[in-house]
Amino acid sequence: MDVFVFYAAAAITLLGASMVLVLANPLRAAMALILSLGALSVIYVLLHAQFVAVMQLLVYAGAIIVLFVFVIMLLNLEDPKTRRSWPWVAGVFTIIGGLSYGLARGLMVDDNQFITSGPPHVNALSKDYGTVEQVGREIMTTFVLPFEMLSVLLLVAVVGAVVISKKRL
Amino acid sequence: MVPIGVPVEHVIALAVALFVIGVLGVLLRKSVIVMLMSVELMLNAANLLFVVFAERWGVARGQTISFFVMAVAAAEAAVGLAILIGVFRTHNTTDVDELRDLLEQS
Amino acid sequence: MNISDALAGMPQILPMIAVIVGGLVTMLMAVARSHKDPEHGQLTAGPFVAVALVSLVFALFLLTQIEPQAKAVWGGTLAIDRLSLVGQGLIVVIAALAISMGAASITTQGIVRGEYFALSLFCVSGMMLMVAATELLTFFVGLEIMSLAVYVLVGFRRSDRRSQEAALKYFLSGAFASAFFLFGAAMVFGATGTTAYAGISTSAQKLLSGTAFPMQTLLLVGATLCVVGFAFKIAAVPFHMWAPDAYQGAPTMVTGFMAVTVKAAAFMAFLRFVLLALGDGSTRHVPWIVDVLSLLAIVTMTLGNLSAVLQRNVKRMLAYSSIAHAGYLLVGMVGALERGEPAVQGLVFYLFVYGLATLGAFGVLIALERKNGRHDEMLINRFAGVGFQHPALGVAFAVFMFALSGIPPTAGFTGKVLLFGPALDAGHIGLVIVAVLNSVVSVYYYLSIVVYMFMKNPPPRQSTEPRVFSPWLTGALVVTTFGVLIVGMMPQRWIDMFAKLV
Repeated sequence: MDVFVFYAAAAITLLGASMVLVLANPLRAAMALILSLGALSVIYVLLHAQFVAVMQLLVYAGAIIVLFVFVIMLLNLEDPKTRRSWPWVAGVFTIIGGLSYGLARGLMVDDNQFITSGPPHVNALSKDYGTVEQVGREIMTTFVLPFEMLSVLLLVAVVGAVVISKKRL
Repeated sequence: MVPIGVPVEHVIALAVALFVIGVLGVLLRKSVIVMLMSVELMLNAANLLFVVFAERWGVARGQTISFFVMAVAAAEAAVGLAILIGVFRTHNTTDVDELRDLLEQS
Repeated sequence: MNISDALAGMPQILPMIAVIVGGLVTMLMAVARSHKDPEHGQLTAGPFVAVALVSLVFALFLLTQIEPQAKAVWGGTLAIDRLSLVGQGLIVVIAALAISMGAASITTQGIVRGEYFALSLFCVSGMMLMVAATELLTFFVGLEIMSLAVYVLVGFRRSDRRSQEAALKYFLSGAFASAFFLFGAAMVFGATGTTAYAGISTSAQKLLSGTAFPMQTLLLVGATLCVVGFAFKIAAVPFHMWAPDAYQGAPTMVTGFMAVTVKAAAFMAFLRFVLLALGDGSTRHVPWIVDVLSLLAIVTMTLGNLSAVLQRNVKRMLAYSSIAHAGYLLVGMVGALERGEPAVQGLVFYLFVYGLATLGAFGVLIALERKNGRHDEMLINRFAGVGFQHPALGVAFAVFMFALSGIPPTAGFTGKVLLFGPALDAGHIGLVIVAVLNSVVSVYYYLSIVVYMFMKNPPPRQSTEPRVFSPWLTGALVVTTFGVLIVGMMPQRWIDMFAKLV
């Protein structure tokens, strides 16, 4: 069941991403991006990263894409004149398919290489794996310095965005 | 709990495909806003790799990193869109091919 | 590890905190002033520069108080070895000079916002984090703080087409490069199960020496993508396309700031990554990294210099010159990988010299800019006769050009000897010959500006042009000029300062 859902979500992710690449209208591309990132959050749930999945939806659908859509509306961006021809699309997707197949095979990674101890076929995950508590503990210990510095990053982004884009200062 | 029964190669292939789509989006599209979306796709591909490797190693670190990446992606989108607005104000276009005030003068 | 262990590292980040506090204070001052003062054009830079300098000098003082130690602090994310302390100090000093120079053009160039200082200081704090980080994520956060601040600074002249265009181009290529770096970091994490440099180094040694873990490919591809990310930031060919546009379009004071500090921070972080994550200080786990870096160095130097020769715009020419210098510094990095400590010392010394000379050159450009707030093209003909009208500026500029081309007795000569020496010792004779030939080519375009300044007559109408005068700029120019000369004439004291870096 999990496995089936995974492949379905993967297909939707790729479909959405491809639409971002192909669709001429930026607003439609933004919608396709939501589709892609939403399906990706399903994959995160399946990979035992529930908290990441929730944040993915909140941050991307709730903030980043809204920002994109807002700017598209604000600037009233229209369809560009160019339309994609079918050979172009086919060529691009051949490249994508070839590269991803080739690279994924070429990396020669498989599940057995991650096993750090003993016979069970895969590393067992701890009971609280992927919970808010486990992730939060790591953020507040090992990564507390970069976490605090993120506040400077966000401050830079806020100040910078206002300085550059505000109409009158 | 055990990791999902999907081979890691398949997840890597998905991440690489997303990344390649993002790269092609930046290289082929002319509209700056779609280029920014493509960068988001590339960051998400990296996030997917972090999450799947974290699961296979059984450590939380990859998941933790993916939070930081989301925060960085949000900050980057904010600044990128602000710069886009600035460019639109001065050039009245968001097409990279029409931005050519800075060119080689040799 | 628990939270109190993490907080035990507090004294080690006080310099960074001092810089951030300076940024916050200038930010608040900017807000307060814009409310009080309806006449925006009248913003005086003095108080802002004073606050910025106080915080930077204080940070430098704090840095000198920290005892270097081998063990990383903050849960293994931050190094406080000598390379980290000296690197942070170098960035702080250069940033202080750059910010003082920028004060002159804050009003004349239509940049009337105090946020310029706040963003510069935040940017410096990000660079300090980058230089000290011994963990991929921490480095990435520092990199993004620096990059986002610089993107905004490049686009700071809001009504200027070129400035906006430069900001956009720089942003797009920078974000693209960050994504490459991150994808590579994810692969490295996948291959090693950790993101700390020490852990990566241990796993890499296991992965690459034996066949116990067949995940070499993942590690190597990941490391290569990370190196691509670094190469973008140091503007090494073929990842340099953004540099000429960004340098030309940015306000001159920002160009000076980014040409020097961004390159220094990215280079020192790159050095740490290659030395400590892909090696363990003395040995390399990836033998062919030397060949890759040599190739990158040769291409970067040659293309940078040949393109610089063709430029008529001085800012663009200096951009290509900085690309060429990235190539020289890569030669130093090859030496550092082969020879360890003395070469690292030479590399940091050269970064210091390059910083002083480049910053000085941009300082002279700032002093020569027109006063009307319009974008100044800075074509080479504009420099005709400048040496007679403003002899001090002309002589200073000549000194900087001599230093950049490596002519004694300036520090550029000493720097190049120290930079290329270790690579020569290690037997990379061909590489060093290419580097020296490139230096000879570079003399042509550096001196051509000096020739314009002192040997051509000025066009008649330019003689009454008003010039920006600022005590801050003058002070910084005096410091850089004498710095380049004094360091060049008695280098030993300064080399000792950078001794024992790894």
